[in-house]
Amino acid sequence: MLTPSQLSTKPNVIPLIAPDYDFNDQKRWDGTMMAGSYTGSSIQTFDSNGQPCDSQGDNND
Amino acid sequence: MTELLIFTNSADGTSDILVDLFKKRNLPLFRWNIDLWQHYEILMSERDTLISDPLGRSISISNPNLFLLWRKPFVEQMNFDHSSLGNDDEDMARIQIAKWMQSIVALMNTENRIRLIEPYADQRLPKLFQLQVAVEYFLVPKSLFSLQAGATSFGPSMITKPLGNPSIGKESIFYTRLVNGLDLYRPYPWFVQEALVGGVDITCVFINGKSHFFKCDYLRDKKSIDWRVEINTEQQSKWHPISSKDCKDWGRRVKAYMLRLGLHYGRLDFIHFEDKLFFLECNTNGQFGWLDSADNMTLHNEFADAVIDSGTSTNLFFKM
Repeated sequence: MLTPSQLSTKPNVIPLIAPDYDFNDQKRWDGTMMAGSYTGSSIQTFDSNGQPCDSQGDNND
Repeated sequence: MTELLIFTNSADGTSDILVDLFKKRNLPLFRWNIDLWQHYEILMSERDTLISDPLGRSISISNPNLFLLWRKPFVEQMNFDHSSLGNDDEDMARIQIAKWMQSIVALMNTENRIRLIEPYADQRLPKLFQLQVAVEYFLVPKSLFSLQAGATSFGPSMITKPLGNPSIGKESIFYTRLVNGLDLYRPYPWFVQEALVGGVDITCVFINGKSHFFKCDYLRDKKSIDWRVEINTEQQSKWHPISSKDCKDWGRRVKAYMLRLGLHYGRLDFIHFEDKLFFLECNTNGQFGWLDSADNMTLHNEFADAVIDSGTSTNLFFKM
């Protein structure tokens, strides 16, 4: 009998060294967003561990 | 002079782009990143709230020209590096910050100073409610939320997905999965839906009355039904903007639905199956960055325009 945890999987993660957040510019990424060759069309956001936020980023709070 | 406060996190690429776009529009902006909370000061008394960053930049919430954009300030992202706090104290800090943010939202909402994204909209508009409203505007796959049911009107093959945050523990994601309903552990609060295997994923970015439709190359089959499992793999499917003759009708329906929900922004997911469009859900704070054109940033520019537009005030107290 299946439970949600048995149906869950680990997301693919790209190893990523995030630059420090720049308080002066109020940005972390300089210029064009981190895209990488594996992202969909152009831009994809990641959390500070390099994990894509799309897997859980549609929540409101 | 109009000023913008963004509640967000420091890894949010869309916020980075918005910082640039608002700079070009000469609009002063203060970005508060919840993950870096330890670097800021917050002084909230019974009369005012001041927030300042490490460089001395500061804002006053009582400034009538200050507007709030809610952009993914997840309390789970609060960073406790270099702190000696235990887990219980960290959890309490998250609750304290969550309640503080709730108070800022309440304060600014009373003066219609929250723009475009409605904070906590997923609590007002949970997924099951969305489906019941959506049947008036779209085709909707048959679905069932149940504790005991082994059989449904749409056969044993079905999809199941979470109704809220899909995270399971700290590392795993409960993606949408194709299952045999008879294999599900019962009793359990499952949400299941008719499996439209072979359909195409369509998503719509709705910004202040305007709809942008995109389709995904991902082949939904019996092995895997959720395109997100491919994220960060070499074979990840691409998304493409679409402007078929159907988009006009789809856009009209989306606009009417969003008006009914009282939302100025949303990313709505659909399945295009056997030449028909089926509604799946509306992400009230859904991401759109990966869909935008890196050249002209059409979506981000439209988003920025909508934040400046006073017509996108969220006005929380007068919603259904």
